[in-house]
Amino acid sequence: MMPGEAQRRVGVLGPACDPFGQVLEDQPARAHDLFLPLISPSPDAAERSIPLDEILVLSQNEALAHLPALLQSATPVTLILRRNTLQQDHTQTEAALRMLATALKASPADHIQLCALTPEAAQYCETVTGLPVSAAPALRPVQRPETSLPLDRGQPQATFFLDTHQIRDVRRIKIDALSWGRLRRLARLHATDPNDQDLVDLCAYVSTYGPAVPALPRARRMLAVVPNGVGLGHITRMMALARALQSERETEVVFWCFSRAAEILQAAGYPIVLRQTAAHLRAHPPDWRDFETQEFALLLQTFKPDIVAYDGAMIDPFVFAALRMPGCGTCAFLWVRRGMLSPDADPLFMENEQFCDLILEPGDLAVAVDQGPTRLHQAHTRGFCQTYETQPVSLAVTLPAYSPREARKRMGLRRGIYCLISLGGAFGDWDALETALVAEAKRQKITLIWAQSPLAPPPRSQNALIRRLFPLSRYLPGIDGVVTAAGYNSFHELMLTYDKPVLFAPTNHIRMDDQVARASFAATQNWADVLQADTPEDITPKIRAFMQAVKSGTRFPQRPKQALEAAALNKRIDQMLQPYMGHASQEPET
Amino acid sequence: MDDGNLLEDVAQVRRQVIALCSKKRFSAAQMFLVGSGQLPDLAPGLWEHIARSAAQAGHDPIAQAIRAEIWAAGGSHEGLTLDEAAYALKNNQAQAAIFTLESAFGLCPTRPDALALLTQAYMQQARQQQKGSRLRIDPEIAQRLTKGGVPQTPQHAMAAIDLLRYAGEIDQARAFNAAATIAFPDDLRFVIRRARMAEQKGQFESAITIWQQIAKGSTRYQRDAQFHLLSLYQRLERFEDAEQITAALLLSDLPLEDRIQLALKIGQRAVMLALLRALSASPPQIQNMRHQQGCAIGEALLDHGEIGLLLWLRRRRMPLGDGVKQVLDACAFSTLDGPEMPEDFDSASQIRSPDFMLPLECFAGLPATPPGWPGRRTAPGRVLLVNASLKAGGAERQFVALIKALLQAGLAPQDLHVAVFSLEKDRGRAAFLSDLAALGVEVHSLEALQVENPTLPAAVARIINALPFDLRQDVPSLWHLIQRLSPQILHGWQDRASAACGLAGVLCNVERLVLSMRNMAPNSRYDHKLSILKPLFLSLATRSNVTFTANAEAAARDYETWLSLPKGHVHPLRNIIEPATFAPLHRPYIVRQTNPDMTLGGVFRLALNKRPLLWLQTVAALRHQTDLSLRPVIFGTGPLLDPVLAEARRLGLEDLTVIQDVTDPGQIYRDMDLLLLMSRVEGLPNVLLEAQAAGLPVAACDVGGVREALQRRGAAGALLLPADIIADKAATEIAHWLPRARAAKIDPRVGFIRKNFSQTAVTDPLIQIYCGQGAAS
Repeated sequence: MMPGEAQRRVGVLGPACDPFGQVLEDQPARAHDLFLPLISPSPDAAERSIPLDEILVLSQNEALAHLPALLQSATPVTLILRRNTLQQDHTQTEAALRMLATALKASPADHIQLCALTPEAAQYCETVTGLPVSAAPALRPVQRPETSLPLDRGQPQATFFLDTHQIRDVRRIKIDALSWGRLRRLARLHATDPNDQDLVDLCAYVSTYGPAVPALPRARRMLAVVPNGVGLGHITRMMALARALQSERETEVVFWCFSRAAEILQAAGYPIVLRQTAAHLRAHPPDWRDFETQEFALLLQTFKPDIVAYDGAMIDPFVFAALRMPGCGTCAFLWVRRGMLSPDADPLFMENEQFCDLILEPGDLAVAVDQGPTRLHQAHTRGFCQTYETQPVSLAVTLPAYSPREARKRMGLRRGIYCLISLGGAFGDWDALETALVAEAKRQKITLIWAQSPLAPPPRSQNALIRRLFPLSRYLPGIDGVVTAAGYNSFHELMLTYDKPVLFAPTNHIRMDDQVARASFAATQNWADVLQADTPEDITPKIRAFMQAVKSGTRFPQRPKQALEAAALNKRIDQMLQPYMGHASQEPET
Repeated sequence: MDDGNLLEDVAQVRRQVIALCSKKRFSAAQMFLVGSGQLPDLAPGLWEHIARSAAQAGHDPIAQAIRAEIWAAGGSHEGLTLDEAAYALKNNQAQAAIFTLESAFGLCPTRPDALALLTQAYMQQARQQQKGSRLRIDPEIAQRLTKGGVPQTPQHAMAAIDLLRYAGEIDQARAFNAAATIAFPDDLRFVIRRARMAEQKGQFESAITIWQQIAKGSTRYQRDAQFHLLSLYQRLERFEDAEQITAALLLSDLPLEDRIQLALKIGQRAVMLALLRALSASPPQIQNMRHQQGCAIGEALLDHGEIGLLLWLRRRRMPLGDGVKQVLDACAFSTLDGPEMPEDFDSASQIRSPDFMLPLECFAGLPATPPGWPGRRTAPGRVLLVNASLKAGGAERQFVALIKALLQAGLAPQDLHVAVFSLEKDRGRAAFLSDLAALGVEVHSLEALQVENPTLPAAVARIINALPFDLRQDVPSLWHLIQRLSPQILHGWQDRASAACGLAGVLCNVERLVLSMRNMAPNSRYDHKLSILKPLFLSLATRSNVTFTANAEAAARDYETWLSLPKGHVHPLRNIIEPATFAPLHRPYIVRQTNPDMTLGGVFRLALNKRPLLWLQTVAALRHQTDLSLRPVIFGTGPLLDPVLAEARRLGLEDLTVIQDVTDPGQIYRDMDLLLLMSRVEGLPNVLLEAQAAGLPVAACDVGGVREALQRRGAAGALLLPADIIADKAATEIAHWLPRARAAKIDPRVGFIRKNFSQTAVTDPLIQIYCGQGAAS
C-alpha cells in the first residue's frame, strides 16, 4: 500500500467459507483491502456503521436473496457469477442466472458489475444472462506445490499423498478445513467431478503459479493465542517460544490472550489483546463464537501475521473459522501441543491436526513414560501438518537467575532455610498435605514460602509467608527446596535449572497432563521424590526425608541439562513458512 | 300485590333494563333483573334483550354468560341457539358450535342460517385439525351440508365451497362457487376460488387467466396471485414466464418468510440458505422477529426437511411454533443416543430429513431382526401394492397390468391389496378404479382411510413428524394400513410411493419391500424434488430385504449410477403388454401396408422431455424430403399444447391433428401406420411396445430404455435414431428406412413383444423376488 493511501473497505456478502472469498487478498489490486463480512447490503444494516468502498457479492444466490437492497445500494457492487455445483445443477444455476438477468434488465443498475471466475465461465454467464460479464482479475502467482489435492464436494474428506521425509504418506483432510489462500500454496488443486463446474472454475482460477519471489527482509509476525488454561504453562511456553524466535530474527509477537494471568505477558512487554471466554461472559456460546471469529479475523487482517500459534490441546473452532474468512488466509498455523496427556484423554482433539502446518511438540523429560494419545494415537485427518519435536521448552532456561542474595532480598527473606510450596492453582485437595508440610517444617525449623498463583486464591494457612514469584526460576537460587505440582512448566523449570531438593505432589485431572507419570519418572531417575495420592501412609515419611535433605543442603547434579535450540527452531519455522513466503515478500517493510 | 301493580312493576323493570342497556351497562342491567326477582325463567325476554344488546355492542363474554343463564333456566330457543353458536364460532370453538347447532337443529338443519353456521363450523374445525397436514373433509359431511343449499352469506358460501373442495367434490364446489359469484359479484374471494378449482381440475390455462386478472386488479391479493402463477408456469414448463414472475417477486418488498418460501418454491435452495445465513448472523433481526413470522419460516423449513437449519435458528433464539419445537425436541439432538447438534450454520444446513434419521431402525430404536430374517417363502403371502393414484397414465396402466398378471399367475385376489394416496374422481385420479374393481382386488384410498386409533407409537411419530411435508402426508396412513393388513410384501410403484413404502415398511418390519421405479433416475430428469430422496433410497438399498426394480435395463443402470450401487443391484422389471389387446389391429394395418397415404403418429405428453417441436420439425422435413402423403396425428396433451399448434402452423403442418384424453389402445393405433418418438428422456416407453404389438413400424431416439424396447432385426426392425439428432437428419434416416419397414411382415415385431413383455416374463421373476428367491435375497 502506498503511503497516504487509505485502506479500501470491501463488504463481502456470502458464506465466509467460500473459496473465492478466501483468495481475494491474492488479487494484486486487493492485497491491502480490508474485507468485512456483510450480513446484508442494506445501508441501514447494523454492521454498516463503517462506510464501504465496495460490496462484493460472492454468487448469484446471494444476489437474488438481497436483490432490492443491492439495487438500491449507493456503493459499487461487484457480483460474482458462478457455474453449477453438485448441489445446484446446471438447470438450477441457469435459472438463477436468468432470473437475476431479468431483474437487472428490469431495474438497470450502473453500479453493479458482473464478473465470473474464468474467461470461459464469463463467456458462459454472458450467454445465459445476455449481460456483459468480465473475468475476475488473475491472482498473484504462488510457487507450484509438489502435492496434488483432488477435491470432490460430494465427499466430506479429500485423500491425497504427501511426501514427507522421503516417505509418501496418505493423508486426509476435510475439504473445507483450510482457506483456499493456504490450500493453493500447499497443493495443486483439481476437481474430480466435472459436474461440479464451479469447483473446476475455482481450481483453474487459483492455479496461478510462478517462480519463487525472494522475501523482503521484514520482521516476522506471530499472533500467539493463549487459552484460559489450568496453570501458567500455556503462557510461559508461548513466551519461551517467542523469545527463542526473537533471539534469531526480528519477530513481532502479539498475544490473543484468554488467560487470567495475562498480566505476566504485559509485564514482559508483549502487546496483548485480552479476551474473555464464553464462560467468563456467561454468553451464549454460538453468539460468543461468532463475535470472537469476527474480532480475531479483524486482527488477522490488520496485523497480517505470518504465523498464528496456539498452545493447548483444545482449540476453539473460532480460530479456524477466522482463518477461513476473506483476507485472513495466507499465514501458517503452528500448534504447540505438549505430550504426556492422560491415557484416558479422548483423542478426538487430535483431528485438529488437519488445520495445522506444523505441530510443535515441546520435549518432555519423561517422554519414556508417555502413554497419552499424542504418543499412541494417530489422527484420522492430518491434512498437510508436519510434526516437530523440540527439546523441552522452558522460559527458565532463557532467563538469567538472580544471585542467592539478590533473590532473597527481592523475596524479602532473612537468613534461614526456606522451602517453597507451589501446588498449582486449580485442582487438588491439599489440606492434609498442607498440614503435614507445616508440621514437619516447624519440626525441622524450615520456613515455608507459599507461592501465590495468579490463578488461585491465597493459601489458607494462618501467618503463612506468601510470595508472588514469576518467573519462578529467577528466584530459585534463594530457595533451599521446593514442593510442587508436576505440570510441564514447573517440572521442567526445576529439573533443568535447579539442583536442590524437589518433592513433587502431582495432580491428575482429566483436563491436565499425566503428572503422576511425569513425577514418578523423575523419582525413578533420582531427580526428585514424589508424593503418591494412592499411598497416603508414605506421605509423612517422604516429607520428613525431603525436609531433612533441604536442611542438609543436598544437591542433585544428576538432573539433565537441556535447552531449546533457538537456531533449529527458527530453521524449522522458516521451513513451515516457505509456501507462504510470496505473501510475506510483498509486504512493505515496516 | 294486585295485578295492576305487578304490571306497573314489570313495566318499570323493563324500562330500567332498556335504559341500562342503552348506556351499555349490561352487567348492571343483569344485576337489576336479579335484584328485582325477574329471573331468566320468569322474564326470558328481558334477559335475551340484555344478551342481544351486549352482543351487538361487542361484549360477547357478557352476552354468552347471560345466554348460559337462560339456557340453564330451560329457556333456550332457536334464536338463542344461533347466537350461542355464532359466539362459539367467533371464538374458534368449532366443536362447541357444531354440538350446539346439531343438538338444536339436527345433522342437516333446514333453517338456512343454522345450516350456514354449521357449514362454517365444520370448515373451521377441519382447519383446526389440519396441524401441518393436508386439509381433508369427509365427503359425506360436505354433501350433507351443501346439497341443495344456496349461498347465505359470503362466509357461508366460502365454507361450503371449501368443504366440497377439500372433500374432493370439485365439480359441486365449482357449481356452488358459480352461484356465490352471482350472489356476491364484487367479492374477489370467489374469483380466487374459481382459479384454484380450475387448477385442481387441470384447467391450467383458464386458471392462469384468472390469476393474471387478480394480480393486475387487486393490490391485496397480488402477491398470492403471483405465487399461484409461478406454480402454474412451473407446472406447465413455461420456464421463461416462471423466471419473469420470480424476478418480479424478488424485486418487490417481499417479507422474509415469503422470500424464503419463494426460494424453496423455485428450487433454489442456495438462495434460501443465503437468506437464512444472513438472518442467523443478525441477532437484532431475530430478536425483533414477530412470532407469526418465525412460525411461518419454521413451518416452511420443516416442510422441506430442513431440520438442521431449524435447530440452528432455534439456537439463535428465532421464535418457532410449538409444533416445530416439539418435533425438534423429539429428535433429541445432543442427547446420549441422539444425533449431534450442529456447530455452525454450514453444518446445520447439511442436516436434512429424512437423511439424519437413517438408518431408520437405529433412530427409531427398533429391535434387531434375527439372523436370516426374512426367510425364503414358497408363496408370496399377502401383497400390498402402493401407487400415488390411478390416473390415466402409462405407469398406472402398467400398475393395473401387473396386478392382473399376478392374479393370472396364481395369486389369490384376497391376498392382493392395492393402496393409492388419492382417488379423487373429479381430479381424474380414479381412471383405473373400475378395472381394479373388476379384478376383485381391494383398493384402499389412503387419504380416506378410516383409522380407529390414529395415534402413532412415540418412536414412529418421532420419525414421521420430522419428515418433509409430502412424506409426512403419505407415510402415516400407509403405516396404519400395513398394521391392519400385515402384508408380507410391500410393493411401491414409482418414486413417491416407493419412498413412502420404504419408510413405512421398515417401521412396520415388513418382510420384503419391492420398490419399482418407472423412469430414469431423478437427476437425469432434473427432478429436484425427487432428488432429495437419494439418501433414503441409498439407505434402503443396503438392506437385504429391499429390492429395487426399474422397467428398463437403462433405467436400472441409471438408478445404480445415481445411488452409487454396484451393477445388477437394481433389477429390470419390464412392462407388460397383453398381445390379445392388439391382435384386432393387425389385419387393418396389413391391409393398409400398400396404401400410398399413411398416418404418422406420436403418442406422448406435450412436454419438454418429449421434444414435441422436434417431432413436428422431423415430420415436416420428412414430408419435404419425400413424396409420401403423410397425415400427422398426436395423441396427448400437456403444457406445450399451444407452442405445438403454433409450430405446426409455422411448419405448414395445418393438417396436424392433436387428440386429447384418449387412452384406449384400440383407438390410438387403429389408423396409425408409423409411430415416431423423439423424446429426450425415457424409461421404457410403453407406446413403442404397444405400437409394435399392433404390428406397426416404429422409430425413436436412442435414450433411456428405448433401445431395449425395439425389435431391430431384419426388414421389420425398428429405426433407432441418435439421441441428439436434428430434424433434417432424422427425416433422411426415416425416409431411407421406411419403405422396407412398411413392407415387412409384422410377425417379428409382434413376436418380439410376446417373448419379452408377456405377463410371465415379468411375473415369474417378480414372484421369485416376493418369495426371497431372487437375486435380492
